[in-house]
Amino acid sequence: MRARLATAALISTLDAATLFVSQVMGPFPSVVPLGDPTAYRNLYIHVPVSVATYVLFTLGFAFALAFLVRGSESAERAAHSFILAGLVAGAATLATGMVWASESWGSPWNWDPRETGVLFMFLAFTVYLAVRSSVKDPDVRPRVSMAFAAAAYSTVPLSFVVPYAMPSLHPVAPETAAFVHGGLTAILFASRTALISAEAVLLAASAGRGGIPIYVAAPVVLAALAVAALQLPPSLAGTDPRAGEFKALVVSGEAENGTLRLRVAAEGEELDLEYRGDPPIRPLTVQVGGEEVLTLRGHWILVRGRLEGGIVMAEDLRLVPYWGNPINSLIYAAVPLGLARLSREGAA
Amino acid sequence: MRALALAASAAVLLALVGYAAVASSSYVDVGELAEYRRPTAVTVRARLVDTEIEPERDLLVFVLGDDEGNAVRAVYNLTKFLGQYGAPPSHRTVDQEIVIRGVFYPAGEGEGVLGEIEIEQILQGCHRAYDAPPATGG
Repeated sequence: MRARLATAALISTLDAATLFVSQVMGPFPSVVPLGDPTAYRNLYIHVPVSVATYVLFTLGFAFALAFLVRGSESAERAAHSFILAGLVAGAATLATGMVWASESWGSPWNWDPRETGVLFMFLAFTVYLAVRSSVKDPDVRPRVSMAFAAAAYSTVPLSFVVPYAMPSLHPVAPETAAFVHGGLTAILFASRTALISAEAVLLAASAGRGGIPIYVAAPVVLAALAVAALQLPPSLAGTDPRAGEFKALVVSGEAENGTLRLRVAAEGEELDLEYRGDPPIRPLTVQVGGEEVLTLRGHWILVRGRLEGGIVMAEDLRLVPYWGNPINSLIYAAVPLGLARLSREGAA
Repeated sequence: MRALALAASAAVLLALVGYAAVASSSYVDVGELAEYRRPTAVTVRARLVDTEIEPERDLLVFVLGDDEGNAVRAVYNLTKFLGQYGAPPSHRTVDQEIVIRGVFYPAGEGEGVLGEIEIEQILQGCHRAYDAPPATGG
């Protein structure tokens, strides 16, 4: 018990640290087709939690099969725990995906084949819960519910292979891998994927064995609150350029001899902005399709400066991260919190 | 054994229903629009043949096509597009293949295109974003 608690606390602390680092300084694609590029920091939340969902449902399936073959009660309990945990992670997968898609795809729900597949998978396992609670005979209930749980697993490979088999807004693994192949991006993505799955499996496996205290999830909750405290206030800033500080969207611009000349949109109008100082993003330009592209384009920035003759002379510029990132950090924090609680109740 | 057989049967059933749900949420091709005889809400995935700007009507026109030579005009509010993307269509903002959601109005005989789609939303895949080098900031 003590070793399990120490392991859970260690994983939770590492999870919290990587959550904070990924959301505050995690790399994102420098040029994106639509929306705020910092929305792609959801790569470090949405994708790992979706991997954890698949892992949990796969373990639930394995234990359900073990029960159907050997009739072991412990296998039935384990299958139920992993499926419940998978539903918690699955709900977070759907919610974080919608928050991200609303910015990067143009709409929170698109009936994209992968979206539909994951929703169908989530509903199939939700029906498992209904089946389990509707059968009152304690001798029949385990067999019927485990049979349905094993059957529901057919929706897992279906939802996974969809982007490979038909057109989808979701990228396939090699496309994502092209971005996360090195440096801090790879470290954060790989560590978060491993940590979230390990944490979820450990918490689900602890049910019926004393569980894990809820306070183990505290580091993740604190990290999510810290991300929200840092990133939500700039998102709520006003857009009036006559104020000393305002929020604006970068429409276009160029960097020349240490001076940034930007065209920004604020309060429904477009303005020119000049800034000499440390750029708020690195690199400031990249080559795309043989053309030099300013990476600030599409970003919201917090401008401190004054309006002079129709031009904003900026003294300070800061990136305003996508508002959905702190929201998704908070949604994600509910996963270890919920799993710890379920493990204490012995139900997970 | 009976429970395993029940599981296998239910698995096949769920997989079939799931496949039907997923397949029905996929996107229609330009050629399939020829089957529509009345205005219909559609989500279309198509090759971008051309783009035109009609400033007097504040419209951005996408000409979408397929390999069989079918074509459809898809129109979007220009001001709205510029607000969302910051610039007219280019390789940075629009792929050679795009997915749009809107209402399709079939054309009459001999108009050269299958009809016109009033775009409600341009849905973007994120595939191309991952080709770009990483940036940091904020």
